[in-house]
Amino acid sequence: MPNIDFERRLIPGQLAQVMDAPDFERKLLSVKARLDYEDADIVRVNFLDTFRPELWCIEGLSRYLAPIPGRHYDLTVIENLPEVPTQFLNVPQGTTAWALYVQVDPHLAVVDDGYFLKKVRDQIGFGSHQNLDVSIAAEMEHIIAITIAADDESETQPSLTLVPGMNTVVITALDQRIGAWLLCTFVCNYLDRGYSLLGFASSTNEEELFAKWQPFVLGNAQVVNTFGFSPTFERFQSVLQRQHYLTHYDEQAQTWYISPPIFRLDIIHPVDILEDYLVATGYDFDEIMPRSLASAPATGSQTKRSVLEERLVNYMQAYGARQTVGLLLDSYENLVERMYHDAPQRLIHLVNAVNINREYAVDSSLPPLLRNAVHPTAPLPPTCFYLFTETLALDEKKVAHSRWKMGILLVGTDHPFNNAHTLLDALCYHLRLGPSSQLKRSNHRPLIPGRQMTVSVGETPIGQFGEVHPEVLTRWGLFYPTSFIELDLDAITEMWDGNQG
Amino acid sequence: MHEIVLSDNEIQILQALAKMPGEAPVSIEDLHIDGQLSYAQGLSAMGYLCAKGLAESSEIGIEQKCVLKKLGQVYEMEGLPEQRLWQRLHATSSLTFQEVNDLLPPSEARFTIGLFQRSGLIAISQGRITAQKQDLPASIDNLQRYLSYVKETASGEPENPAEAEALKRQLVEYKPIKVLGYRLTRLGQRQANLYTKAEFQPMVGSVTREMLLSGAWREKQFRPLSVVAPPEIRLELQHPLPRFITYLRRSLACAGFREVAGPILETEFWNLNVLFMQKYHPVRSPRHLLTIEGVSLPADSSEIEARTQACQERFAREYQGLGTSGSRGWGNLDGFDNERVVMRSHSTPVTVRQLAYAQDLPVRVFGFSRCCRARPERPEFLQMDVLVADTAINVSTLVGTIKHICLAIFPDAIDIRVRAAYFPFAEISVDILIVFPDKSSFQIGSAGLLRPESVAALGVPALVGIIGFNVSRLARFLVHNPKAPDPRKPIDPNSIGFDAFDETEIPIHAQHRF
Repeated sequence: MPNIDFERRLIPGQLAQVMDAPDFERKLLSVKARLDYEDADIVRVNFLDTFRPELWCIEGLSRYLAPIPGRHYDLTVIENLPEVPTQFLNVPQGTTAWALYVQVDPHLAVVDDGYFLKKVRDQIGFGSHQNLDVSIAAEMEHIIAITIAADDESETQPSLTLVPGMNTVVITALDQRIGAWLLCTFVCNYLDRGYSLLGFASSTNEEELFAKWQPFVLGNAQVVNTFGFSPTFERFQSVLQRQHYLTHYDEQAQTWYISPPIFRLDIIHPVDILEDYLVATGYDFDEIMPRSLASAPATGSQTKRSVLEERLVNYMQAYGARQTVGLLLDSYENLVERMYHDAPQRLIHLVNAVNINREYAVDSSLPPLLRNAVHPTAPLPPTCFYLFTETLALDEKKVAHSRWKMGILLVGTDHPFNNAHTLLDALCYHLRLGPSSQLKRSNHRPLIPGRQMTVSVGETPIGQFGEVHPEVLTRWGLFYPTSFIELDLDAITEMWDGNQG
Repeated sequence: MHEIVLSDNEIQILQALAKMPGEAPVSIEDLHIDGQLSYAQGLSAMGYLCAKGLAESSEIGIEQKCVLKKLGQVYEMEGLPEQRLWQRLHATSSLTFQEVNDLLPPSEARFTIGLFQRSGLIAISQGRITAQKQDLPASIDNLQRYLSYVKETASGEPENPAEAEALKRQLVEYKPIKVLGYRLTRLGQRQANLYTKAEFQPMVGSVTREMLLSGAWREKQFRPLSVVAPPEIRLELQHPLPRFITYLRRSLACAGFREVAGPILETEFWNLNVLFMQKYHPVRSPRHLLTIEGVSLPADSSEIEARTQACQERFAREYQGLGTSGSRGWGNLDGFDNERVVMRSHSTPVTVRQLAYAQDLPVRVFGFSRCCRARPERPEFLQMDVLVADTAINVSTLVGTIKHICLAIFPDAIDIRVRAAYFPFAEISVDILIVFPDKSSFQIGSAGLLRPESVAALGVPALVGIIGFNVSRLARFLVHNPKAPDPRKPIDPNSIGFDAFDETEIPIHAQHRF
């Protein structure tokens, strides 16, 4: 959702009047945009649609809010341009190159399109010159050696200004369709500025790409099936024409032929055109007449897991334990160093995380519980609290596993191991898992050796419990004896019948 | 005496009321309480006495008080926006508009920049704002002090020019506050007599080890505990976020939807590709999507694997414009990796996956999903996604279904509206607004029809409606937190532990569904 700054000094009179009118914000909504900010120098508009980049320049916005009467932007505009024989050299593999030959009369104003290009590249080119680039040569070039600038992490804005006289505008794009669209948009913008277009050239088969702007065929039945109502002929036609569509209606076949303007990148399916109609008419409820599909009584349901969770919450509430919530992502310091972790290679590392405090995923419910236990507002011990959380971990074969777990922490209670054992037994009984559950000694480094167990039902491990190791407690700054219980809710859900207990 | 159980504080208030001459109601401040009860404790105990039918309240007067309005409360706590912006401006020497917008809400940013500009405090050049003076005008500090004064004293300062400014900006208001007085009911008088005859002394709540060792318990009376009242339900023990999710879950289940769930680790195919996201859409950028390189996910069953494979093949055809949906496609498939593992970046994959595996229509499902994105603030958030696939789905029925769902969640609302929005995988795309009886409306979610290319890739013979909600945003309108500076502050899934949300109140209609 890019924010675009329009400099007031560059805005032509007719558009400026529209921007100063009281219904400007309503009009902006007809191009899915909102007014973000304005002052004496700029008007900042937030465009919701990432794939309407043609709007991110003055000419693009003017075409909708203050159009030039009689101007059409259909495929014939570009089909009528001569194709100039041109040789492109050093075009990187997978990249397409385009050239547009433009004559600028000296009396016409020149505009810097650098800001527009930067916004387009940032939004639909991942900000990389390799994906999308434009350069200008101040003469008519028939042999064009492609050089693509290196990516620049700084916020420098490129300069992209035509000079009076002859210009060759060179576009390179990894995505063919985006390249073709940018060529078409420059064609429309230059025409609106009054420049003369002398021809174009392409390193690829452009006819196939231009075919994307051929008329769409849309039967009346498809309109009604999508809308659930039938718009009047006149309204449908006039609304689309205001959006620069060329329309033709075959009455006998009850079929529309609708050509999108060539500056539209986003029109690839008839439904895109139909949405434009709804947006332009403001989702008129008198026309839509909403009606629910769910009028007949129907019974929904919860997942077994959420039923199980509610059962456990009820039990823990009666026990007097407090529920809390935890974060899935945490820091290396919390998950490895403070946890005294013996296998950090099993943790999921998010290499492109921007926040170093959130670049690893928790592999156990213990870290979020400990994090909460040392939270300034945590209740004073003795206390017991619990949470439900997803955990992620890698196995030996680098397969990532996700498990939904319940973690319980008993802080500062007497007899921490026995208390945890008793609570675990009660929970297993509550879930009717008791008789078949078995305990086996385990060896997890965050728990004290000899005071920790895994719980299994048959061969399936369903949880673990034990006393938290003093080394871990010291590293977290939690100076109370603490015990920990963890239940694997995915494992329990698989063997649990919701009607049990 | 044993039928009505009173705490020590309640007994003190009861006796203080009994000692008051005459039957005229008295305010809490005028009660002569022997013990060390604070005003709040006294008020709380009085509330319990009224609830138990031992005391009753009546209005004994009206006082004109000056109080902070909501915005005034926020400014009093966090500082005026002028001060916040000024401090940041001096700390960083200059700011862009984006940085100002990150610091302040848009309306405050606009107001403050305009004010500074008019006062010559800042200069704006090439989109950057720089300070032109060293100090803010004294009137702004004065306004901040005035807000603190109003908070502490509940009275105004008509002579202070800050008051006119605060009233103009609707930070404070004068309003009549009822003063309540209390007196004993007949039942309360009888109860007070019982305590007088028993020569009341403080009762003991808990038997302690020290008491047992010293034998001091022999001198004490033990406060009786009620065996008639039901066991105390301690709602505060449940965190408000999961409690609110339970409410939403039951609302949706009652409205006829089936809950589904899925793991947060997804393949890029299910997270984005199947939704027909263009190759260079910013949501695919590493600035947005959290990816995990060099790992795989556990193998699915052969049946699911086969269905996924079929979806991938249909998606490939649709993307190139060779599919059955009538789409002209986005182009070639260079650079796509269906198997790359990512953190789920939005909730729709959870419901859409169910659609791919569904045998029959209609499909009406919903799911709650924790989602993660590569951003510095709040990389984790919670979404709720509702999906309807039905042969009768179209724009009219989608909007009607949105209304059905929203009114199930917001029984106080009278209508819903929609307005144009954009979601890359939905065409049409709308924002949902709920309308309350006072005609106020708020955006609470988003919806649309799944792109036809995606529907074709999933192999569904009908249109598909999707409705998404940010759970925190929903909570903003449904959950009240009286202790927060802004009572409608959203529940933040990133707020861990035991903060002010302990006091969060779930609305009555929501509690009934628990």
